Amino acid sequence: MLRYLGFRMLQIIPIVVLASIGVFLMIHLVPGDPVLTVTGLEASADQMERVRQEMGFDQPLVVQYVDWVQRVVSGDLGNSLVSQKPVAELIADRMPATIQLTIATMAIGLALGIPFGLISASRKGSWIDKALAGYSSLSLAVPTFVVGIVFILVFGVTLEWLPTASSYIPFWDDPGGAVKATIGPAFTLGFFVSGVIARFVRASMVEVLDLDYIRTARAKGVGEAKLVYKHAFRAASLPTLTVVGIQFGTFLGGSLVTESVFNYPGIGRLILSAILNRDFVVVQGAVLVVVIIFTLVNLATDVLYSFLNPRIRAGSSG
Amino acid sequence: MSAPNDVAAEEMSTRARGTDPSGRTRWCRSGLGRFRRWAANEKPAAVAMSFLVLLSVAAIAAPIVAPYDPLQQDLGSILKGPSFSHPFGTDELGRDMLSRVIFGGRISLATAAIAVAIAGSVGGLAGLAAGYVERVPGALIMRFMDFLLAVPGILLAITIAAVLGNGFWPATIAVTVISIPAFARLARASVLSTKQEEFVQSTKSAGAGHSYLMFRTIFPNALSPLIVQASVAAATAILLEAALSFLGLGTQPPSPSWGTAMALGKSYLKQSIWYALMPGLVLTATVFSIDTIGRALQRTWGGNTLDSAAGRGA
Repeated sequence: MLRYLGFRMLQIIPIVVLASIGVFLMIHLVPGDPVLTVTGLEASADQMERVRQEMGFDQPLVVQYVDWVQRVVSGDLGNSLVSQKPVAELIADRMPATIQLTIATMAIGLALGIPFGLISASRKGSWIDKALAGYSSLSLAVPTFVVGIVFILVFGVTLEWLPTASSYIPFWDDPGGAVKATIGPAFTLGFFVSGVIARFVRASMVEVLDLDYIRTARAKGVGEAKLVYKHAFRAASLPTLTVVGIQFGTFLGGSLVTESVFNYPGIGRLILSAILNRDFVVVQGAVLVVVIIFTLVNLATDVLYSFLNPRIRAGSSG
Repeated sequence: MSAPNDVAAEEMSTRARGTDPSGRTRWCRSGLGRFRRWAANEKPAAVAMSFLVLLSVAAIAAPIVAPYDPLQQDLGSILKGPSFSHPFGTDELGRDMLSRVIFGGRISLATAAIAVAIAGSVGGLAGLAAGYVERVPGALIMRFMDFLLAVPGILLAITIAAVLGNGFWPATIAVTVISIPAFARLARASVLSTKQEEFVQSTKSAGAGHSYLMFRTIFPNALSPLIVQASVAAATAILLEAALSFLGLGTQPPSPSWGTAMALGKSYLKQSIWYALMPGLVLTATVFSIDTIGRALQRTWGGNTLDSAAGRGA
């Protein structure tokens, strides 16, 4: 187990290193003088010279990279060009909103996806199976911004039950307000996730329900409900865990589109507004943090998976 | 190498493809019949295909088909709902939405076609190479693909678009780059399993060279998962292009891209729900149709593409 853990930890190093190189090079890949990329076009000659010194743009690229990595490792992601605030602080400010949205999204996705997957697997081929298959195909095909706009249209504009633009209200401060403010983006993303989860649950349940031990249990007279929900689902939940983990990691990195549909102040909107303002220092820092979070959550998922399924401990990736 | 051996090997490799040695022409002649039988079995896919054909024809012939010039303003009738003269309504400048959606289809379909063609060839060849030469070069290719997959797709696309600037080509390049790794992975997996087949081994022992083995024997037999993947990639490309345009990072106004139209329409939800809704519905129908065809192909040929559909993220 420890060996596997060490092996997996080693595997994320090249990903993080490559991501850091990519993120570092971003400023240099934008056409034009990198100093102007950082300062913006209206910078004074003084400001430009200061940035050139600070960022070490007169140094060779390798030296710049090593300097930058040293600063990043010590927690200094630079300062935003627009607000002048430290990038690390901006990210830390937005993180709670994104975490709350991710938890709400996964709760909705699991609450819909697992029952839907179980029902379709246990009634394979029936009309309800086909209807639910249609549901998951639809949830994967409708873009989140279409779902979001329809949601705003129905609940914000027509019924006027919810605000048309959402905001971040911490759940601990005001549970009712938090639900009202988060339900729009959470439902929009949760609808998408529920389709993914339903498909995976169905696929792995269909596989498990065909196995010998289920046939044996059925022959022994175990009731159909207990068979599906206890015997089979326990085995089928493992592959589902992986897909849930990947989705969890993706949403923790912020949902660029959904957050911007609802004006939800998470990491996704931070990255998007930084890109639109050409605030590349913020883009650099936020993208790096998001990639690291995503990689770590994937690692955690894998470790959890192998912990629950001892057969995989020595596994290698394809 | 003696001639009879060569023929035997050739015959074996073609037989495994499901056709006999003279099968090329016969397959072509019966192609339409086979397609009809397939479409009769897969009715939803046939409906989806008709929709896509209709959409493609409309997009290609847009200047002829569209009732109005997509840029022609009519300030006398702004933000109108569907009517006989404007079946999809009008936007904030009185432009005909049906015409804009038809012209917008050109952008979506072009992005999908370019992304699938380039990502499919680059990813397919990289995967073929990685599967054929398993050692260092193969491992290097796959580690790089792993890296591309290790970054959330939309984030990578947006970062690429941010660096390259706004517009049709930056968005298309971004969408293409993130479509490559799925093709490479599938091609490699498919090549690895095909390599073990007896007909490949016998072609090899008959003395076939590397390029013959790679391109004539293994690749044609490893192709069907890639065709299924092409449908997933096309749907994802259309979604991502629309998302980038929606965020203001793709094709810029006044170009009538579906995503741009929805972003603009969102500001006028209180005045006209149709403005944002119509491009959204056509976009959804398009993606849904491509997915439907993809799933039908998957049932016919097998293969697993679930992972990449799930990776669309948000």
